[in-house]
Amino acid sequence: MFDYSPILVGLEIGTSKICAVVAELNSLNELTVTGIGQEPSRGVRKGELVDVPKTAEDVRKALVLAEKMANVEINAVYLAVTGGHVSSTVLRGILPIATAHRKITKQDIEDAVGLARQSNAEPGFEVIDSVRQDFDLDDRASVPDPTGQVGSVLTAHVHAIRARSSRLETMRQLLGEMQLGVEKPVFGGLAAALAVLNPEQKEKGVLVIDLGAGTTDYTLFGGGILRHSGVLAVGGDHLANDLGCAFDISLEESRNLVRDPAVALALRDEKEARANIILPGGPARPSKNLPLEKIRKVAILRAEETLEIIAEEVGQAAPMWRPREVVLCGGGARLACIENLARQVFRAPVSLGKVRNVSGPADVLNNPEFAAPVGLVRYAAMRMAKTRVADGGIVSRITSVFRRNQHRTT
Amino acid sequence: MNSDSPVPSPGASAGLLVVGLGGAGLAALRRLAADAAGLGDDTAFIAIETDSASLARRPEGVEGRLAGTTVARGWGCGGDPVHGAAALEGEEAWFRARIAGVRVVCLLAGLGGGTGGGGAPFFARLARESGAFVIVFGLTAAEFEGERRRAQSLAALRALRESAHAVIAQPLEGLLRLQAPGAAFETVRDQAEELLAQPAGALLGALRRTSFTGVSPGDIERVLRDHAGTAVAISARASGPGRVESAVASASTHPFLAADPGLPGAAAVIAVVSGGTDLQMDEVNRAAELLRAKCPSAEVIATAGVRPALGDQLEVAALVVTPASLAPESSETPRTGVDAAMKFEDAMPPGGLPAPQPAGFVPAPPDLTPEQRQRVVETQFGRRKSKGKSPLQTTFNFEVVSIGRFQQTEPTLRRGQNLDEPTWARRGLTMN
Repeated sequence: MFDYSPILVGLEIGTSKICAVVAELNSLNELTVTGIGQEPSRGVRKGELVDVPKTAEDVRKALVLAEKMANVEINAVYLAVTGGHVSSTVLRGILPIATAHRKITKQDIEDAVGLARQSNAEPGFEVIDSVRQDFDLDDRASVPDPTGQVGSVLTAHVHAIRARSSRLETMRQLLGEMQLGVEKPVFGGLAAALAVLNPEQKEKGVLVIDLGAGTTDYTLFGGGILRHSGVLAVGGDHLANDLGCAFDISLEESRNLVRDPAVALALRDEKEARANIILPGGPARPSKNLPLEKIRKVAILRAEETLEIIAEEVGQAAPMWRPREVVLCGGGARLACIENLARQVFRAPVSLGKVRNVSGPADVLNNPEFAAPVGLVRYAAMRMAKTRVADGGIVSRITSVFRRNQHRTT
Repeated sequence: MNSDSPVPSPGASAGLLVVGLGGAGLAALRRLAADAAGLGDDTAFIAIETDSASLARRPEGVEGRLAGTTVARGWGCGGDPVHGAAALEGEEAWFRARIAGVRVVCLLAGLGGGTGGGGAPFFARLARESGAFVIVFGLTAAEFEGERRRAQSLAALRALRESAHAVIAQPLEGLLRLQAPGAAFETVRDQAEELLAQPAGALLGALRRTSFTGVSPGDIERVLRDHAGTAVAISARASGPGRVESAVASASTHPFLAADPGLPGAAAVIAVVSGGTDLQMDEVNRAAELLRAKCPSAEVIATAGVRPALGDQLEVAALVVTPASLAPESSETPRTGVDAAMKFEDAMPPGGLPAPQPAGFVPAPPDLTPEQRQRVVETQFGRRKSKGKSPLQTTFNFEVVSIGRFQQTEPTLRRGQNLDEPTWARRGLTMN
């Protein structure tokens, strides 16, 4: 009777598409994607809502598709958050150890971390994720786990990702009007990293770049810990816009241009950029003859600039943690020249992110575009697994059943 | 070609770095380097070219850098500014290391060409990012060079105004318009090089002087910002009795000021009066007075300096700032140069000007009939009155850079740049 698998739903309201992923978590904590729904996004720019009614319509369509495929009813989602309003900071919690020569306990660590989390008091912002980093114990810095060591002042470092409260509230209200709850807002870049990274990569030092249409999210791991994260409100749409402005063509034509095989070849190899490409005309304008060389130049300038900015940001924020590897995901990871450029900019091996430890349709799991939405359900699964452990398992299952029933009756 | 110039250490810096970009820039650099005595000992010269043959002709003591060995293969970039910019981008690390620690970077370039037009905005941006004051003397293309080069030079000017602190646009067309029929090509070419190099030398010399007789980078930046205009640099020399009056008269009819509104329409003038060791204070005062009389409504800043190399000559150099609304090149579309020049030509005496003078000589004002003089004066003063005060806007020429899809969104700003604007536009590339 307790063989119930909780339904976990991730929703990404992106700039180019809305994507809902439905997954089931079985009793062995194995995650399987059972449904996916996608709909082109019309009301989002640079990761932020600019047209709420259109977005509501698009979200509804994506959720209906996902519900049909998974044959479930969706009542609450883990929501991906990105945009220029998202930023990260390191919070510090200082805990004086009153008794001399006392060993640091687990409770001291929890208290110090709690103090750090409480120290965020920037008005108008909400911490959507806070991840424990390392500790300072008296004069010893970067202690991974001070349990059992003796000291008088314990300082906890917590990496906090903040988003503007008003933007989050707009999202919540949009979903609330559809009778949908938000289980938790999650930073999209963190979700993508959770989907594609293994513990070994996090230990060695890895930078995950999620190249979306409106934003580029990035997360840096080192020593098994999240060291830095951020959002650059520049994405694939900027590249398309650059091409549009350069050649006086529409955004749709620019997007198609980037996907053209001849352009892809030219982006990959300069020698292939010697010819021209003919863009068919229409009633409004004649056909255009565009030099591949210039298309290549425009695209590379934008892509390179984006990567250079991230390299600079990461270098400044975490100078001790140079990435040993770069993993690219998101729709922009399909740009033909991006791997080579990233290799040049970061001087590290570069690979395309593939979802790991999740079962489901191969076309979803092997596609770097789905890293963030799949990462959301992975995040949810990790959270649920922790609850199960904390509750001893059986209690959690009962709660889940009640929670499920509650969702269905509301 | 670059084997003699390895990657410099950041410490290999200079107080002033004069960079000649492309063929025209290199020619001007050659002349400037020959008369470098007033620029100080810590002045360095670099020639940057994409044409290896042209670079090989740089004078002794001038460091050379062949750019774009992959893009241009040492053959030049064929007048294509995209190639020019790409060629220089390939040398970014070397340039950054060379610029590090330099206080003032001066760029000399022909803006209608590929290396100068495409590379100057890129190099200016690098120099500005390194913390240097960046002043650009750019020669804009003349009508005979074709519409493409004219358009390229205007596009380069716009891009430079976003990346450099001070952009001085020297209109080659102005010189050619004042040539009499039959003028030898080589003479005109020499004049063009001289007209670019001479005022640059005088102004840079003033920039290097630290006493009250000098001009600070802040002065130039402030004047350009306050008067929101286009800047032209001129100079004229004269010797013998009445040399002050002659020099000022020649300066006020300088070919670069031939188009409307000329000196009377200037909003600001930074004048540098130089002479040999015999330069007298009275002469400096007199030159300043005469200049103020020529442009009574302009802010005139006069400075002076001794340059023994001038001997018995007196030089009046000036940075003339014209409000953008009156400037000949303020129109969005590339100007053919005919409109402005026609007005002046209408007033020319039959048969044109006297025969061309030796290089460096600035022709005397043309003999105009009283009616012609009246027409010129009325046009200039009438315009100034109707325009009233100079606009307070700090941009030089208004250019709409489309941000297309991102019009309605909060701009993504980083270090003063709007990342929503196309990268190619911000980097000064032209797409036509």
